[in-house]
Amino acid sequence: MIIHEARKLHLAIRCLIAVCVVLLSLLVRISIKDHGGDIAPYFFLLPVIGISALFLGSFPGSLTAIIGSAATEYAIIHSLHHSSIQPDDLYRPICVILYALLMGWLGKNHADNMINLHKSHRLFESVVDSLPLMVFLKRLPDFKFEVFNRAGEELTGFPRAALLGKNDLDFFPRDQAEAFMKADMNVIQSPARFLDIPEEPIDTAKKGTRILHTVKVAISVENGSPTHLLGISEDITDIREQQKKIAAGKEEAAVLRAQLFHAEKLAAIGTMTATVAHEINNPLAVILGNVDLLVKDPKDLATRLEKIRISTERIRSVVGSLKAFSRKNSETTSPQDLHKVFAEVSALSEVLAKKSYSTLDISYPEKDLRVLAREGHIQQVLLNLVSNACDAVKSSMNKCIRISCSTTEKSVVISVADSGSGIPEEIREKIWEPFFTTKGEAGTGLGLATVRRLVEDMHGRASVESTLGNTVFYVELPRCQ
Amino acid sequence: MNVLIIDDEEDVLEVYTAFLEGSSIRVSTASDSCAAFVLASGDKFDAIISDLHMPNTFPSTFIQGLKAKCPEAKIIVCSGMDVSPTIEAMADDILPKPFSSEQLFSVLESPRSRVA
Repeated sequence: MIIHEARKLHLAIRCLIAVCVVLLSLLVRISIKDHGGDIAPYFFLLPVIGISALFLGSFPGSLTAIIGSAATEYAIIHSLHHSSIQPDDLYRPICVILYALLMGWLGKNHADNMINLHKSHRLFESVVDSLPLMVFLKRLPDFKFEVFNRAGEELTGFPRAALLGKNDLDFFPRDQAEAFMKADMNVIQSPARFLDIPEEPIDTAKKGTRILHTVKVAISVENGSPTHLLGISEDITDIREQQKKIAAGKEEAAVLRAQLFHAEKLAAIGTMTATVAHEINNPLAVILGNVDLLVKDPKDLATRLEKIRISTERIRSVVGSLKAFSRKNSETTSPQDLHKVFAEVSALSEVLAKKSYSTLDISYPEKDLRVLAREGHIQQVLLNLVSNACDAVKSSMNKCIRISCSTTEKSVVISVADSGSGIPEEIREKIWEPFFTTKGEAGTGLGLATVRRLVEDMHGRASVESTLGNTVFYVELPRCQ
Repeated sequence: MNVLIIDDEEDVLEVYTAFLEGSSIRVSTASDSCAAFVLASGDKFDAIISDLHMPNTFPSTFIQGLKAKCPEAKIIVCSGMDVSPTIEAMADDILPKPFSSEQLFSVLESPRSRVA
């Protein structure tokens, strides 16, 4: 760094002056001897003090001290030589001691200042060098590097000795260097004298192109127009790459999650299909049978047509239930009529209950009770819970499933209860985890995970209470006012 | 010919009874498993046409029960769902729902496929 160079020069000049002082002191002595004078041994103290002051004190201070010491020594010796006072008198040593004390004090002050200055230079240098960020100082107006720290050397791959005193154009590709210097100019001309560059590419000597986040500040040594430009850069190439990876990972996870829940839906549809086939084939048998009979003999036309109509209605309601599964999942919640939802779910629920030989009891909510939910999601949640309940009661003597709902001022709690053997305490939290199943190969382990996800997506809450013979799943959803 | 038809849906029973009406076949119906067992124990049937999924019973035990009550009868299982291999092995014939009157007659008239 430049500071380093200046100190070397300073020291050289001091040494030169020290040599001059010794020579001057010798000259004085020779001239005294020439005049027949007597050189007392302690007069050697004076040049010694002068030289020590030189090394310890500041540059002009020590120079004064040296010239002063030489002149005083000469004056004292000369005057003693021509006066009646003898060198042995008290006067002479007192003068010498006083002078020595003064010089010593001056020298100490200068020394302290010098040491402090030196220390703060060292401190500044080591602070700048220890910073993990690239720090550089460019001198205006030609933007030549005046300070360049170690992190900067490591980042750019250029040694500071090569960079100092040169500018960007000497090292970086022309377009990059011009961009850097344009930013430098902007900093100096802007009223804020500050510029944050979130991303800029830089071609380094060893690491290829890196991405930097740079802050540039125009500074002035004295208050006034800027004299230097301070730059601090962080290499954000790795951070950017990590961020990209994390973003890609998140995206992938979201896709996988969506696929997982889609798979669950498909699995649910798969198990449902067999049941639905039964539920559709029965009324179809009635329709086809009645048509068959009417073709042969049109008697009882009205009765048979009515039976056909009822069966057709039944098929329609089953197909309506299936729509809950085929509906494209909407992303936003909207008011859903819970009575209608229960009606949609009832047909399929009854099929499921029948298949498990259990009785199903549905307590319909009052009409116009609305909850804030995503279209089709409550249906899916309820069918998942009913399907679970049917599995739960399989080995029970008393097979009952009950769907009901209760309301509070702000929410609606839908409950699906079964008379199964209950869920042991130790797995009660685990049942919500994906792939946790107690049904072995028969279960996907996604049913309740889907329930919780769907309910939470609708800003609701899914919970369970279970004792032997009574397990209740609760789905709490925000009520529409 | 004496035939017992079992189904938990009255409308289905009505249709199949109407199919056989006017033929020489005498039809009895049962809409629950209890009535079915009572009838099966009392009368001698040449054929039993039964729905597979009856309330309060397991399909396999129900079919087995019918076979025990009427070892002579031809057991025809009808169902709207796929029939499991166990049931298929137990039944003499399978009649998938929905079926026409022609299909019903042809199943009834075909010889018994296996010995009980």
